[in-house]
Amino acid sequence: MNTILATPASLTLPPFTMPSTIATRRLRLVPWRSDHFPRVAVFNRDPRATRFLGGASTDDGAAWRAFAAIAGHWTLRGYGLYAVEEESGLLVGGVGLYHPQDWPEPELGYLLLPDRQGRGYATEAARAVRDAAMARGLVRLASFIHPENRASIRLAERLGARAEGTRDLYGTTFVRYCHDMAGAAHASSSTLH
Amino acid sequence: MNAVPHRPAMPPALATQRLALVPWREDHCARLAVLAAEEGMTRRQLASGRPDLGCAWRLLAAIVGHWALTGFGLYAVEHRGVLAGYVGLIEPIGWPEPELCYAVCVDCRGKGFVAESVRAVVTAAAGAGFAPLASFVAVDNAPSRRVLERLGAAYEGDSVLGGAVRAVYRHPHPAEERMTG
Repeated sequence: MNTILATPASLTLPPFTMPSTIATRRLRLVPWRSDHFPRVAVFNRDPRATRFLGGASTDDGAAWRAFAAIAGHWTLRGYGLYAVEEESGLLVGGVGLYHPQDWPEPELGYLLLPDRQGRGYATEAARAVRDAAMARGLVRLASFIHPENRASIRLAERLGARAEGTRDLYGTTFVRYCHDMAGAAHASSSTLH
Repeated sequence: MNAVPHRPAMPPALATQRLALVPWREDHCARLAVLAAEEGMTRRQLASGRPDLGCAWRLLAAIVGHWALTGFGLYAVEHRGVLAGYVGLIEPIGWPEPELCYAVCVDCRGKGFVAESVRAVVTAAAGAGFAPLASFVAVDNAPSRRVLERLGAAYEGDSVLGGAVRAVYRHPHPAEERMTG
């Protein structure tokens, strides 16, 4: 049998699921809907916003397939990226756990649309996801960040993550930021009181 | 860009005499990788020319995500518990209407699986409230056009879709098929 078709370890992880919605002080983390796509399509065409994510594309068909795959990640894994909305329902970004078959480990991923940056939304949502994952027993969580993506590195550091080595993903070298799950445990237990 | 129009939902699974049309699972991934390579479905696989499990998993995620977003999509077609192909409806952004799509793994061809699974989807879609379904095929893809004609689909003309000229075929409504057949 071709070794490329052997079942990888990532397909046999024990079940781990996340809640379908999470609420934070200002944000709602919810399942993806078709009406979120127009703002995702605008983002996908923005060269500056996508410069650390493989670059802009005008191929809306490919963008829709990638959008559908983000939704389908939930069906296959029991967790995934949430659509992050303001109270008004406006989509502000995507934050959550990302672990496709060819990813080295579950990633805490976060992405904020350009017109909603600078408000601390990504930090608020990413912290809530990290704490929920920790509370459900996840012991290890990383973020793979482009070394020039200063905003993303600052966010990871605000959450207490530390740089530990690099990972090559699709031909690009990313810094692996390891999240402080013990610190998250402390934070989430203290917020219970 | 307008929101996707509201469509009826399809049942999550269908059965035919020999085939089970079922929701996708991760253990379909290896056979889907082979099928996707056979069909030239992803650019990276086209470049390498061999099955790629990572690409197949993303394709699988996009297929099941289509179900989550729209309430219909492609079924995994199983024969005796093994993935034999896919069949179902897709309506990605920019598509004028839902499209009936299908593919069969090379080692499952020549058994009439396409006709059997397409008939099940056409019947279920009519029952769910879908209008008669279209299939779009590259105008120069003569083998696929012959398959559509054998399935009883009628050629309606050409249309530009996804940057390419496609022949538009219309599948008969099950009631019409009974009357003419």
